[in-house]
Amino acid sequence: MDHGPTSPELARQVLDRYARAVGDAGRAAAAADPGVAAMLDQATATVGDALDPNRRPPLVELASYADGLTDRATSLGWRMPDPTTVDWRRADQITWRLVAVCELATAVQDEDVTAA
Amino acid sequence: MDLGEVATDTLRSIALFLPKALAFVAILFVGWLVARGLRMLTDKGLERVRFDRLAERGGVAGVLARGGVDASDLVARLVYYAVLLFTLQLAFGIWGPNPVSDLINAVVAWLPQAFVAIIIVVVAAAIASWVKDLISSALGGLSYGRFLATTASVFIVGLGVIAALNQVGVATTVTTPILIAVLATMAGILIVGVGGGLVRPMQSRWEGWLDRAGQESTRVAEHARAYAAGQSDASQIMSAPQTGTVYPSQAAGERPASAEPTAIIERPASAEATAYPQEAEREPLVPGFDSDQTQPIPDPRPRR
Repeated sequence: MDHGPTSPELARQVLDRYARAVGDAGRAAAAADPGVAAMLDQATATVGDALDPNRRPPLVELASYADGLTDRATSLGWRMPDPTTVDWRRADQITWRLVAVCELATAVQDEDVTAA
Repeated sequence: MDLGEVATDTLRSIALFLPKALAFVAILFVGWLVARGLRMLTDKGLERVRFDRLAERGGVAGVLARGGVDASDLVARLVYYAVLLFTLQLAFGIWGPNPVSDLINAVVAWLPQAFVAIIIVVVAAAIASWVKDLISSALGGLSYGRFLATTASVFIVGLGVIAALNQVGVATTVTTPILIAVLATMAGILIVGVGGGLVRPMQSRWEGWLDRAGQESTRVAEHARAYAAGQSDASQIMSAPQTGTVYPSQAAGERPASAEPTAIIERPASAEATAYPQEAEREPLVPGFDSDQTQPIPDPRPRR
């Protein structure tokens, strides 16, 4: 079992890495463009359903999902896009799922902050 | 044999016996007097040197008091009976070798050992008492100070008793098992007391460990499930047609008409949107990568 993190701290590190890669740029684009925001919302809903529709997914699951997604996609030929030049309207579903994971992770983080 | 001879023999026997008998009685009487005198002297002498005080501190007096004697009284009586024994030895020696003399000789030969044994017990009891005072005053503030002091004193008294028993010639086959039994009892008390005190902390610690293991295994299972979900999602996305259609509305900057209307959230272009001035400073994840090669995928919500 070495597919990704099993502790919240490690999961946070992994998710930060994805956020720097595509997540921050994607969420910024979604905030700027309602059309892009819709795509992000759809991806977010899909990821939430894929993990557990009945609850807000914890950081560990989000990070593991993102790891599994990118590992399989990379083995099938997908490459991580350059966030500075990506056209978010034409971004692929893998990328959108990653951005959605980052969006969900941010929600979890906000929840943690309010809970604490 | 005539009557005269018989009478002569009898008279000779009596003549031979009478002095011995008189000497025997005289020796016994004198010895008894000497024994009484020595008993009184010993009692007074020991009281003069405060032997009772010593015995009292040793805690032997408490035991003796139940028998109605004090320690100096006891020693004085011992001296008394010893002198009587010597007297008896001497007196019976008159009659030549006989079983009573042998018995008395054996008892007299044993007396010094008994005396030393008594001394050992008294001294051991005194040491035990001092140790008890010392420990209970040094550790008086601690809850187990009294227990420790009593244990130490009992232990020392036990050692003294065993040494005394060895001294009086009670076989070590008896005293050694007693010693082992005492030590084993103390070990058992220690094991149950100290070990029993650790049962509860260890129990709670074990519960904590098992709880954490359970949480960890649950977390690992969730993590594995999420990882597998990501893999299968990626497989579905990548197996979908790579060169799909782009919604015209998307190209025109509009929302696709067929998209679920409830899934759209209007987001104002707030300050957050412009809060990425450092975006250009970031080095691309894959150098030389052309993002134009990234293919748009037509279906926004592929089913699993």
